[in-house]
Amino acid sequence: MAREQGTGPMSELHTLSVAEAGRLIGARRLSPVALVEAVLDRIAAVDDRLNSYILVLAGRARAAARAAEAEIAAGGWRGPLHGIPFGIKDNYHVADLPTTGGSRLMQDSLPQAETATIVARLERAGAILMGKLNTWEYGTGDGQVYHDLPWPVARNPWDLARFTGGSSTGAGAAVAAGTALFALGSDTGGSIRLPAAACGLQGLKPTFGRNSRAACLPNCWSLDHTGALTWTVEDQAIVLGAIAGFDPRDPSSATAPVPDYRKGLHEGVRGLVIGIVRDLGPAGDAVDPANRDALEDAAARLAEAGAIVREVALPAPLSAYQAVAWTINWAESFSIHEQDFLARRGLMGRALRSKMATGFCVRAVDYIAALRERRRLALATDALMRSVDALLMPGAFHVAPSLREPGTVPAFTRDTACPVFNVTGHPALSLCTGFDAGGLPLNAQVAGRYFDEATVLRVAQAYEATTPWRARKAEPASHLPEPIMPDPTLPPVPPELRAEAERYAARYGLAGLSPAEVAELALLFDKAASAGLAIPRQPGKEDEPAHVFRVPLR
Amino acid sequence: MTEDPLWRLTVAEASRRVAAGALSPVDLVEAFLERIAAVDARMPSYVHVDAEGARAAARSAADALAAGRRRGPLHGLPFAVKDNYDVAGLPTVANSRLRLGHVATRDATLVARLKAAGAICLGKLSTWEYGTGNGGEYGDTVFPTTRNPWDLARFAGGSSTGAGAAVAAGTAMFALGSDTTGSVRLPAAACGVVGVKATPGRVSRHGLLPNCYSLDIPGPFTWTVEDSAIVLGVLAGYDPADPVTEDVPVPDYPRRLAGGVGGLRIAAVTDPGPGFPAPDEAMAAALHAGLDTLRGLGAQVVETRLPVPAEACFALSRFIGPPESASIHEAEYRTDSALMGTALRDKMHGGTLQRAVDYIAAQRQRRVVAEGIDGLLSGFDALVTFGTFRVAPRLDRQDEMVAFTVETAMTPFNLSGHPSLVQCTGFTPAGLPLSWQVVGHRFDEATILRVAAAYEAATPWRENRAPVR
Repeated sequence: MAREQGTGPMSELHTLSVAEAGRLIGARRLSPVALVEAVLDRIAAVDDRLNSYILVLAGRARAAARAAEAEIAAGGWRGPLHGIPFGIKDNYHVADLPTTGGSRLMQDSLPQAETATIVARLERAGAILMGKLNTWEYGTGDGQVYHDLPWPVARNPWDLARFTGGSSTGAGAAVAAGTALFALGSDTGGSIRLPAAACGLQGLKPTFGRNSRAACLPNCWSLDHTGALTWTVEDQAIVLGAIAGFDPRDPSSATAPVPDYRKGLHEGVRGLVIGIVRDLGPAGDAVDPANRDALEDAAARLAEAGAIVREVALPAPLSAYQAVAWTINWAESFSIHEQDFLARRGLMGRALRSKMATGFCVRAVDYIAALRERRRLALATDALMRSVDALLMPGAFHVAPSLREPGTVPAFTRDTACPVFNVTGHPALSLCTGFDAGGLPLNAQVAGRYFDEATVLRVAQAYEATTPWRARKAEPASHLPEPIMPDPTLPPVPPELRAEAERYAARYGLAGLSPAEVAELALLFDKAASAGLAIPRQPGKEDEPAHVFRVPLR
Repeated sequence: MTEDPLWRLTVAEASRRVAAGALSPVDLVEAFLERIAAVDARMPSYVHVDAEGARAAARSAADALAAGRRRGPLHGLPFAVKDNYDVAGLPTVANSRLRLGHVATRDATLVARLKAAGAICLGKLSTWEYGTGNGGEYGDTVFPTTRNPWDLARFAGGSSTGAGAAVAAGTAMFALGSDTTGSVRLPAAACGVVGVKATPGRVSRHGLLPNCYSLDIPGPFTWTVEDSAIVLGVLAGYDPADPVTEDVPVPDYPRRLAGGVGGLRIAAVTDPGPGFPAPDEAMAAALHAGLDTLRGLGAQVVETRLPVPAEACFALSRFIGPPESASIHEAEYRTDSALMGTALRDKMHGGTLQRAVDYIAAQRQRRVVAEGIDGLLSGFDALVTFGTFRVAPRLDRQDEMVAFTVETAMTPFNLSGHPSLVQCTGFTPAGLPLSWQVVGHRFDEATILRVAAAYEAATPWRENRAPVR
């Protein structure tokens, strides 16, 4: 459900953008206390249905709001984030608060000792933490929603029957519904951009190394990125400016300088070369017609604004990037959760368990082949990227699927071009490109050169400025539709495959499998082996992995 | 009194004589070709001698000198490389039937740097197949097994089998090998020469046939520490063709050799930890005597322990080396494994079956080893410990060969990325070289060379040459 915005900026404080609220606070026309209360009211009004939060920090937020108000009254305004309420996916640590990762395994864990670097940077900039947001278990899964986690799944504020996109489920729901003005998510294969796409937001996965990952639960070291989901592109520029930059606590953090992302944001796209990627290979055939039309409309608008739009092609079909991303993700994720999987897998939700069982079966040579292919894809994609100023292409192919049609849910996570940029490390933003006939958000992806988030934002801003989409706000309905459970039936498993899986499980210390688990493992064993063998092999022995041991060790 | 033959010259002395016009590159190269002709059939250290190429290079080096152009400190000095380095125009067979007929079209970066400094390539040195193996000699690869010039019945150390033997026997003035879990330092130890495994990122791997992306390091073999300093100074430095090389300044290693060890704090590890059988008594006695020598020179020597035992480090490397090797040679393994020698094929079998999670676990544990050794070194200028635990074994004792290769204190520093070198610490009564290992802070090769140079100057071991003739 949607409606047009109210009459004045103060009428519905929770619908303010970060930039608008920041300007009002900076001008002392809005108190952080009033803004935080408005957001707490909004949470109270809608979050029983939305499930965007795992933990609301009302007392902490109110105290921070009072302190901000006093500081600003004393002339100590810190900048555009001072007094701005935000939420974080519950895989970011905050000192003295528990982190659950959305998992039963961490449901009762002790408070953390340290705060994630980028959360601390936001708090230093004066932003006010409202709470911990919902997530798929440990920020990952197999694409399906099984309704078996300790916290009910977040719902899409545009249609509560629908999924928000994962894995930063609560972040997407919160920013779209105004239970936070912006949110931090994390993105391994699209987990910021997919909820942004499903919920009509702008979601940026910056360059690998741009944002610190310190004190954020890992999902896959090689592909994990941290970043924000915001309502507007300008909000992205404000938040990125506060969180980006080198962090000695994160060994993958880059030392590249951080520009002022708001400077030049409104300079337009005149003369910029924007490559449009229409053909993603066979996997790209699944793009919804409405998303395709919106992509063409975006290209036309950018051309009208003076950009030189040129059709280009990625150096490999989308499926090549997806294959590499999945094998790396399965293997590293399993390394992270191996002990829990072997000892306590009954506490895992099915989506995580199924991913773990796949990772359990990946061979080292296939993982290394994927890292080697990653390097080739990244170098070839970078050559393309350096020939343009930015790329415009599909992101998520579908609109948010309905939880009442569970058979359609996995396709939302599977059919996307988001993993391309986790594999290559280039910055990529999911841009809201309007709404389909049913009122569901459409999206496209804008990608740029390494550490050139500024141009990505500038292109996105030029598009956003010519469209009315930011005036439309989501208003969650009062009725919460019941989800329908996915069909648990597995396809038949040949007995020899079942026996092979059983032997393999026993060989590597996975005990006590039920017959259904053996059957599932057998199918995943087959899947991991086929996927691994399908990773292209490099022509030269010197073609090495995307990351090798480096010193100094950071 | 007859003068020493030219093949006995050190790099430093030959460099001085060439610079002074007292030694012709042509004479020097001829002396080495004669030496090869005289002794190499019995060792053999070479798989390919490029006599014509070397003579042509020597003539042009002589011409350049005559014209007043000395290209660098290695002008006119003959070297050879393990046959896993590319040298333009020469085959890179790497002792593999799978590469017969291959001819390189480019120089490896290190070979190009040596040539640019005026050095002359004599040819390609023997190696285990693809620079790897399990310590065993199965006699089923392309080239005959290299023998140790101190005792031809004994092993020369692997996988850079020809490099240690060549420098010890004087069939090359210096040599390049490569080290994944000891393949420079093992032959250096077996043959009583200096072998340097630099910090990863210090020397380019470009043009070197890979064995394990995350552990491979090229390195020089020389007779003296000063020679290592001269050669490393030419080899070291950033190479855009190798994504691992670091753009950090390269010190003037020869100048940094002076100064001795007075006042240096040196960590001594005389117990490599549980898991491996104890080092030979002669090796341990030489280590202790050497530490006394350093004390006598004014160093402060403090006993300490490795944060992770050497045996545990070796066990970790078994989950990194085989799967990376299996990835590198996968296509050949799938279609032509019958052409591989036993040692390589066994490694491929194991690497192919390993799980990704075990590989990743080993890489994660590697960080623990690296940080532990960083912590150990933080209060010291350098660390001295065992290299190999034993002297070179007899070639007919397969079990001793495997033990020589596996049971060492070398792997911790491959995992951790700290620079280390092996040098000779004397000889057994039977005349077999003893050795130790000197380890330093990352990118501080200068200090380990300085420690080794001080030890070398205080001991008589460089006067004793291998008896092969």
